[in-house]
Amino acid sequence: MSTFAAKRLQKEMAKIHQGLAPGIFFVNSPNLQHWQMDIQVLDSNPLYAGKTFRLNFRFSNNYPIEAPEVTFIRAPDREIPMHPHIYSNGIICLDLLSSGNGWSPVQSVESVCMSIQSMLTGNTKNERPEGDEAFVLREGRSVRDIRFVYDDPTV
Amino acid sequence: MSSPDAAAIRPSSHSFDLRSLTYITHVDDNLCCPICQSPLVDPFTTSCRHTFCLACITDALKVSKSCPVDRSPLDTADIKMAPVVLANLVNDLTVLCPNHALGCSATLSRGNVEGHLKEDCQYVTVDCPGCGEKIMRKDRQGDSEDCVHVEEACRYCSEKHRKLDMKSHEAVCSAFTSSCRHCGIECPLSKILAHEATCDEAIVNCDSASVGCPWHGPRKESTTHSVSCPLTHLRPLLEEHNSRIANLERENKLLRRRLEASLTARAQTDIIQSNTTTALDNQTLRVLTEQERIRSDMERLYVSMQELDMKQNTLAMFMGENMRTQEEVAMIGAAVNNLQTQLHGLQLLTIRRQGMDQNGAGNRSDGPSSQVKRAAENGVLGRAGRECFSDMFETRD
Repeated sequence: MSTFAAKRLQKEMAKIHQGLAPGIFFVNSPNLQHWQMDIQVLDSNPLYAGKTFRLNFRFSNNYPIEAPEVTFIRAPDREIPMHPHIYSNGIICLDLLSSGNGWSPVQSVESVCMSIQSMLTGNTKNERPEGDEAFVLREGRSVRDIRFVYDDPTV
Repeated sequence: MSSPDAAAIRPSSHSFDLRSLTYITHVDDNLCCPICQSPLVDPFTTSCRHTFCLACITDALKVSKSCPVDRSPLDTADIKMAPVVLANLVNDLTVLCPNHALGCSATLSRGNVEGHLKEDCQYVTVDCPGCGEKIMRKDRQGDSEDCVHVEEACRYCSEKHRKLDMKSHEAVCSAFTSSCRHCGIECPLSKILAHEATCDEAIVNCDSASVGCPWHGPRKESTTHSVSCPLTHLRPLLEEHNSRIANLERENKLLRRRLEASLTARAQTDIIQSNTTTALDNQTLRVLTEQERIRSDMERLYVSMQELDMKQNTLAMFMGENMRTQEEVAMIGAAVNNLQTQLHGLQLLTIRRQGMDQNGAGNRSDGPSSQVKRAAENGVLGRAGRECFSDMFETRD
């Protein structure tokens, strides 16, 4: 990992230990390039109330110039939230997470968590994206290779 | 950094990445680049007035042509050097030498880091003057042009070692010996201290030196001495006494300190008390003087009151006299009035008599006396008048 990315991640880690926004928790990081975070939706949205979801972060050598790979993962007592932009394998269709689209190097792990948190908060549809089953079947692809078309300005 | 044009200054103008430095003090978040979150290195400002490290914003623009903070469209041509004051602020921050992890303990202002690495830092990798291999500056043998990777024989054990490793070898070389100061035995440098601590020839003091035994000699003789030393048996007792004395002295010192403290406190109370007494005395004296003054005042007043009384009496006397005089004056006044009336009556009489004298004898019977009589009867004459004329009336009648 480049010293530049490592330095930046160390700084974020130090900030995380000072405190995080409500509903966001640091779980662990087996190494500096791989973090896990838990998020909760704070309002009483019936779709997510009382549930906690786990996010998996993978950082490239070029972080924060390049966006991290962020997906939901399953774990004991952690499922993949129902959302029209979240596939059942945990892949999130969010322009913010795509370098060259919505990603900005000013973002951080915490701000990404907050964005995903608010994406869940605003959702009322208890459904998966169109073509979810077919998408999930074509496994083995890196998230980075997926070219999403960000056509929904409502989320 | 002479030109404000971003294109002219590449991040590579630094010999290494300043963004990876470790800062000693806390750095204000406002001095940090939003991308690397470290203090700004070569701060450049966008047309939307956000400031980044030149290297950070250049990298970010390669991926997305927009400002990372507000996402407004941006190109490399739109970024300009930030005000010099900002660059000065961040260049003055104190950092650890980048070779801190390798052992360099230097701390310096960030602006001097490159100079330090170029000239001073002993932990910088330099080329070996002989073979060109990378070595640390401290391993270069001064300015000599010899290759430090050439093996040479150790001065002591003749083992072959690279020049580079010679120092670390000498520290452990078993043949690099030094002689014991006491017995003269040759011993590797690393073990000499341990040997000296147990050397039989080393001069040691008697175990009872602490309680006054003056003996000292080689360690090997100390055992025989301690058997014969009279102090050896007494030592436990003496040591106990010593410790007791020390305890007592400590206690004594403590008590003395307390006593001094209480004495001082006592002295202070005494002073305060005596001060109070003096104050009281003064006050009483003042009260007494006051009383005395009041008494004398009173006496004076009493005397003057008596005088006044006397004066009043005299005045009353005078007033009585005055009244009497007034009465007399009034009586005199009344008498004078009487006399005036009588005088008036007499004048009238005189005038009438003169008139009768001129008229002849015929009217003699009706003389002045009858006129006076009539007047008297009519009350014209007062009492005094009547008295005056009574002789005349009697003679006439």
